[in-house]
Amino acid sequence: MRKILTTMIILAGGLIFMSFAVVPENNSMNKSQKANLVIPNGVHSVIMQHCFMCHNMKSRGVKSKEKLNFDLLTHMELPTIVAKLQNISDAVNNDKMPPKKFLEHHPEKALNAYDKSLLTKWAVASADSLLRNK
Amino acid sequence: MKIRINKKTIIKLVGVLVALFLLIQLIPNKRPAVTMDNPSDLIQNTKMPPQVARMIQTSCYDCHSMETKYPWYDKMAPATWLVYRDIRVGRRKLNFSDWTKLSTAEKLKALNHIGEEVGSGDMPFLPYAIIHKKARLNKEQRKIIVDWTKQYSKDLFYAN
Ligand code: HEC
Repeated sequence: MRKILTTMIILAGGLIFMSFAVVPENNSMNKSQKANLVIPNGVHSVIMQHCFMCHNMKSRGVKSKEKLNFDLLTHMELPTIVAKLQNISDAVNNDKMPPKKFLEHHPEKALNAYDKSLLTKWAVASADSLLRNK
Repeated sequence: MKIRINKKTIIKLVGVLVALFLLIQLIPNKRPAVTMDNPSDLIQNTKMPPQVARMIQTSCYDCHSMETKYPWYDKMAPATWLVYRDIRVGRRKLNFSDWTKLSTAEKLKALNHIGEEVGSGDMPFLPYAIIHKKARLNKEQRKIIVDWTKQYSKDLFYAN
């Protein structure tokens, strides 16, 4: 009986210890690390559902995260943030993103008209506001 | 059947190749237009280091401006099949002749892309750089262009 109890306690202790040892996954894009670029909830959720899986720190695609990395976006220099926002708006407006090839296998990742408008309006307005309030 | 390679067959073969070469010249492929007077041009309207202007003009303007220079070998098929397409696509993506028509945000995007493409060595286009030796950029030249894109971006962003 005591043996079982000790094992249980050790196991429980181990579990508790492990829960601390596991580094929290860094895949939650911070909503606004800087007041410079505010990402409202609606936009944030579109990005998480339609863009983030390729454009994050741990993404397997080298090109996709080099070109745009939402884990780093808010930490970049301001002129670069404006450049990236303009690129987001152009890519979405011209139906370049998500890529057609990708959508063949993941049709649910396509942006609908509402998401597109939300994303592009946000990108343009944010770029504008960064350029005006420096 | 045995193919005998003698003088006659070689002459025939060359004849066929020449005929083929002449024939493919007939396939329509419109040469992208050239205009030398471009009031919205980057180099004409921007204070930039002359060295950078020279490099961009030599290495990029054939595909990314209206001032394309066509050497004779770029006026003949099959080279035209590749070159004309690159020029059409290149101009559509980035046209230095239309520079001042871009908004500040669009300019920042273009500069960011130029820094990425030149920094990684992706531009100038490899097949082009192989043939056009003058257009090649070495590591130092690349760095000078990348540094210029950063400086110009800051100037644009903090202007006014
Ligand atoms: C032989 C023609 C050619 C030359 C020379 C050339 N490019 Fe390009 N460039 C292209 C083509 C074609 C594309 C589009 C193809 C692609 O996206 O892969 C392109 C794409 C680009 C892009 C990406 C634009 C975008 O919005 O996606 C940039 C930036 C660029 N080039 C910059 C340059 C710079 C800077 C130089 C000179 C150092 C240069 N290019 C020289 C043909 C050329």
